[in-house]
Amino acid sequence: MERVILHSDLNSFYASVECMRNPEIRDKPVAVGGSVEQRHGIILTKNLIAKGYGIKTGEAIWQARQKCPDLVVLPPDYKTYLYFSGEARRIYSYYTDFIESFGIDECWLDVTESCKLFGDGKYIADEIRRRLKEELGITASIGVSYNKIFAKLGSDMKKPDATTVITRDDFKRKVWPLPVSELLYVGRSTAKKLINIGIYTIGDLANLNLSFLKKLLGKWGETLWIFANGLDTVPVMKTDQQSAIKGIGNSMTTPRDLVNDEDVKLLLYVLSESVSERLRKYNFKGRTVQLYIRDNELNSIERQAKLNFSSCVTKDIADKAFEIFLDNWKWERPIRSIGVRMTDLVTADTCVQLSLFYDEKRKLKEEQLEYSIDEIRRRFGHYSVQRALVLKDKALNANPIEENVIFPVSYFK
Amino acid sequence: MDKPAVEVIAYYNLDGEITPLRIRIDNDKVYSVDKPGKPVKGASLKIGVQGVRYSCVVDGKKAYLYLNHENKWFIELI
Repeated sequence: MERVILHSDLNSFYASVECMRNPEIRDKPVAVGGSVEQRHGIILTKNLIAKGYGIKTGEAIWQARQKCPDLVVLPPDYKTYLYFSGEARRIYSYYTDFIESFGIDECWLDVTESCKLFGDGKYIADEIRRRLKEELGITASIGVSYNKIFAKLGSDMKKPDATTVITRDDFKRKVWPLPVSELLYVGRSTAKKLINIGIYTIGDLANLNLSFLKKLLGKWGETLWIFANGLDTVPVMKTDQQSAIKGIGNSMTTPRDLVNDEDVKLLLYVLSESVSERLRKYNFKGRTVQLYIRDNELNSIERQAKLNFSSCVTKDIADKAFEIFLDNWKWERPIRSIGVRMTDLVTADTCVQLSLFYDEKRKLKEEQLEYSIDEIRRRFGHYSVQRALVLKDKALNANPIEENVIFPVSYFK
Repeated sequence: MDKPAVEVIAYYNLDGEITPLRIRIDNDKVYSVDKPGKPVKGASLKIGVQGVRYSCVVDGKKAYLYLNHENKWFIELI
């Protein structure tokens, strides 16, 4: 049976929530942006009026101000956005239990079975839009199609507050003329490769010879070809916003550029502390340490290495990350942002192979020490206990846990 | 902008359902909430509030009372 899949995209979500609850700014250009002092000063979302000034998501706030001096920039209030996102899910859950979140403001819904109850896909989509407007005061664009990829493309076609239906009969007319970069997972570098060989639209991509495309892009070639031809059969998964955790990481755009090993070591400790704290909070230990570095020209690298044993101790993680760093970074440019992530997670209380070459008692002691510090911090605040190392530079010492609550997600889970 | 926040005296039944009984506006004027309707989710673009909405009559005028997710009450005259 033909599936009916909806993709709901809340229009300029953060900005819409802000405009909803602040009537006085509703007819002004509004953007939500990070803090300039901490150098997170980029535009996260903008409303339609700001878009009219050519303001783009991701550009610096000062650049946006040059285009539009009257721009109202508000700091993000993630708690409220999460509440609104949850409320939107509540409305979706009225129609189906197959809800897959894709970030905070997007969801796929599989309403194949519910169509018997409520009406066709378009009817449900219109109903959801009406309820979002009435009950939450925000709008959504919804794409209706028979696979997730086209549903997502549909939700991008008409904005704001619109339903777009793409069927097997008209996808060639509606989807194929779109630029190839609109397709999920065609990023900057893939788009460049495709344009180099004269592939400009999704239709061009769909009509390419599959084996040729595989040669050009590897196994991604096949995936993209399947996407473009509407042959994607990936089901809508029942996921919560809190899906199964595969890795825990924190990254930070630093308040000033990092210029030497000392700086990096400090930052790695700050980040590892927060990563290990979260590992302990969710009762995990990790085995693989991944390090992410971006320089001040925004080129980035990612490297990883394994620990000899699973750990949730800051020192193990930070030292490994620093080791990876020293092996891989040659200081051609200062560092703008840096991140540490732990993967290969196991639950903290699983049985482990003890090592003959490592003092197991010390390991246990270190762990207990960290649990105690968590407890102190819970009662008296994050800055009540500090490592001496991180006191060297006040500006770099932040608590990433409090500042990062929303995580990016992948289509392939 | 200051939203029209109000103080509320409400009745909680055994199922945890809330019915507003009296409201106080501007610190002195107390009104009874007449004919409170069934609560529904709703948003008011006019005063910029989203939450549980009660339609009711206050001082002879039709009004909406909103209880938002931070447990604050607001009034919108319609």
